[in-house]
Amino acid sequence: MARLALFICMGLWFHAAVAVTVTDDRQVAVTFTQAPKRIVTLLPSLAETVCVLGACERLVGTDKHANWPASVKALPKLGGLDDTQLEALVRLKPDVVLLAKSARIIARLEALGIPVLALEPQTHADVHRVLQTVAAVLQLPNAQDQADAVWQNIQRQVSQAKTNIPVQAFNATVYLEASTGGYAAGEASFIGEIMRQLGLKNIVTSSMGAFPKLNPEFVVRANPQLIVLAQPMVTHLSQRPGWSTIAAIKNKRVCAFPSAQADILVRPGPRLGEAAQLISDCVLRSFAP
Amino acid sequence: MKKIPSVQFAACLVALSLIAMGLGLMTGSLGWEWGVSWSDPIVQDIRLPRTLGAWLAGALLGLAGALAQGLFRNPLADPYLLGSASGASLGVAVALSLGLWGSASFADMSEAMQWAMRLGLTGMAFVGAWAAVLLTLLLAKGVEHTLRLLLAGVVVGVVLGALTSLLTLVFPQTLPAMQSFLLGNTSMLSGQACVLMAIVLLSSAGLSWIFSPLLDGLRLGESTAHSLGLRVLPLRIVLLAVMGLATATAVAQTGLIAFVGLVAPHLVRARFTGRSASLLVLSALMGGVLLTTADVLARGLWAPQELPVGVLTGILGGGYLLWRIHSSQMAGSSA
Amino acid sequence: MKPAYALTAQKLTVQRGSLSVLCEVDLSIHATQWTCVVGPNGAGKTTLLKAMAGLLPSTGELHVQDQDLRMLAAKDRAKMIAWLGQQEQGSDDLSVNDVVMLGRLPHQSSWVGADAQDVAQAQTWLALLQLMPLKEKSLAQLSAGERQRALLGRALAVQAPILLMDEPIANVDLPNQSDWLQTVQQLTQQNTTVVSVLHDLNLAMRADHVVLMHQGRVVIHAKPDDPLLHKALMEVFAHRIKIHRVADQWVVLPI
Repeated sequence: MARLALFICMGLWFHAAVAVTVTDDRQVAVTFTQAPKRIVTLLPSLAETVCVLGACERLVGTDKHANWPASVKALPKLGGLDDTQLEALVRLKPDVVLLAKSARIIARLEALGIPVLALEPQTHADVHRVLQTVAAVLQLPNAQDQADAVWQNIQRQVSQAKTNIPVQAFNATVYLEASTGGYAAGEASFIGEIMRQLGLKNIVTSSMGAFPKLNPEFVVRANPQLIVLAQPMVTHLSQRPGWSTIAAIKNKRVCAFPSAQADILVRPGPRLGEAAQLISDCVLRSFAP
Repeated sequence: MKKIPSVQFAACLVALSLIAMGLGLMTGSLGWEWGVSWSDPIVQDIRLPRTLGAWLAGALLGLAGALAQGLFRNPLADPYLLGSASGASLGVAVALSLGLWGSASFADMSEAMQWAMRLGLTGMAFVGAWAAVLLTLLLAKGVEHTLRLLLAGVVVGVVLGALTSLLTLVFPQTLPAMQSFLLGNTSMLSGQACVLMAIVLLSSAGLSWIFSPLLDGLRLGESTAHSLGLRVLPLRIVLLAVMGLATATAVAQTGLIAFVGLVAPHLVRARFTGRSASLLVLSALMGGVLLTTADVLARGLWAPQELPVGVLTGILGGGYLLWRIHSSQMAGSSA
Repeated sequence: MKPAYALTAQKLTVQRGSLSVLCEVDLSIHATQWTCVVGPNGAGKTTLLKAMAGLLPSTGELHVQDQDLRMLAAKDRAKMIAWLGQQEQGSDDLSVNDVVMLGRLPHQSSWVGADAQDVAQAQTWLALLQLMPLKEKSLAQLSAGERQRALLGRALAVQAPILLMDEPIANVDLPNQSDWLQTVQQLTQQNTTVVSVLHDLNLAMRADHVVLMHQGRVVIHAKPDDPLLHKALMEVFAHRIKIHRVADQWVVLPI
């Protein structure tokens, strides 16, 4: 009986002594003596990351743009990316707040003694790293393995999407429009990376930056075979001067997505597998004989 | 500085316009390229309407700027005085937000939303600009007192600007498109837009010419203008309406382009005095040259990427004004 | 037959809010003569002049050369009555030539602008007022006297039979005042009716007729020699002045 008690005590002490230290995107080391049970996220992709690791029930509040999975929509909303409702946040008594590196509220939260972890995935590699960091913080059993498993799953989705690309579309030139006003998404952007993994060629090379503002003439000259609109504002492309000659428009190979799907395309986050599938489905449809 | 007679000045500006437009036809996503083949669809469909459109928009703004400076007897007046800039921005913000909010089914939307969607960005910008001007006139209770008009314009500008900011806060995805509008954008000008602007320019210039004696009379004060047989109130209303129309048309097509309306009349007055009628036409020509030049630079400096043309007009126009202030201070202190 | 009176007003009233600035004025201005309107500050002199020029809304009868002023088209009225305001502003970048040419506006059509006749007229007045050497200078570069002459040239270029001037020589030195008096004499000899508001009583007493105003009403309208005028002047100015006869002129001095 005493030995059982001793065992239990040792077990509890052991459990309590496991402290996790991670370095966030600000290069700040943050230590968690316990696994956080109440999590607030102020960036949609971070809410998605927590949920995809199976810890969705620990979320107590998100920013107003987080909308996946559906259960997240019922959580208290704490404002946009730059105007967080501090009082509401504090009242939720979070154990940690996950937010973007550029959020202005970090200093305020730290001053109030609330643990803050700044993570802002920008590239695919970032997504993997963020998965690992968050898994470690959540103190999931076999955290790293879990994170890697999720990442493998994402990669599988991308490969699956790639196999759906028809032969005619291999190395097809593509123009990605990120917003009306002529901002294109280049190879260096997040969605540009997805395109590359799917075997499509972006007319905007990485030397031009991630979101260059292009002269519309450039697009006409490049004559892309496919146009993907990553924003749900389909303004009449064929009416743009000179654009009716573009192959993608003549052959009606324009992929437009409604707002809910467009979100997946532009957010660097763990749903990039889904994004790849959305694009490949559209490519399949567009290049169907 | 020696003054140039009006006909010579006009001829000079027309020549500069042609040169600038020629350069425009030769500048594109590959930077400057000497020689241009007319049969190239890129030249016909893209560069020609864009270059011509930039000239026309610049001319509209130059004309509106000269009208504003004459009507308000203030050399710092610009065509956006009566709140038309903020009105157009709000119109565009509403159109963009509706576009985001709009469900897949057109029929689901309310009447107003459908109407707004049909008008598109250009139409909404135009409507917004006009609505703001009317609001300013209402607030100032007519056009009698220029000071009241100016104040009302400032108030309307601030309030509508706040509403625009509110919309972009609720729909942050509209921000890049809004920024493109706010900085001016000549990249999507089509042949249709050119025709529209040409019609408005010709009618505005014609009406301004006929009613320009008001501006001449006002240079000596309102009472004197009155005593010279000018019916100040009705003439002022007509010229304000023409100014509003020209500004709204330009803004709807190219977004908010800074300084062209302000600087063009200044550049003209540096080398010309005379009838207001001539001043108006010369300001229009000067505005055309300015904006075409800025557009060519916007396209050519960093090809295939483009600088927003409003940034260039801001730098060039602002720089010119600074130089003017500096040189007049020097002249003043040495006098 | 030429009318004896160029401008007549009957029960002319101007309200500003609830205040009557001009109260039921009856006045007949003699044609081709020089009338001077005088009175203490706030008497309503400028208001009277502006109302008679048709520049202010007013009630009562107002006739110019037997025609109802309010029924005239704006341009016709402008060709009959020329106006020179007090502290008239001019954009500083206007040249003297531009300013005088602006006086021709009532005669121009908006399509064509100035024609040869307009230019000739403007030149005549520039010469008469000795403004030729200053023709291309801008207003900002002129002295007070020269500026006044330029603005006067603008009013004269209208070639109207009636000229109304409000404090035309306020900041002007004596030699220029002398020139101005000469110009007025020449104008009346050429059958122009001149009405001026002057605060300098000495100059006012050189006019053909004097109108004395006080608190929005006309106290007396008489020739400078009239002893009743002198009595009225003393009363209105609270006996703080004395009127002397010096070298064939009336001179008004403070006590």
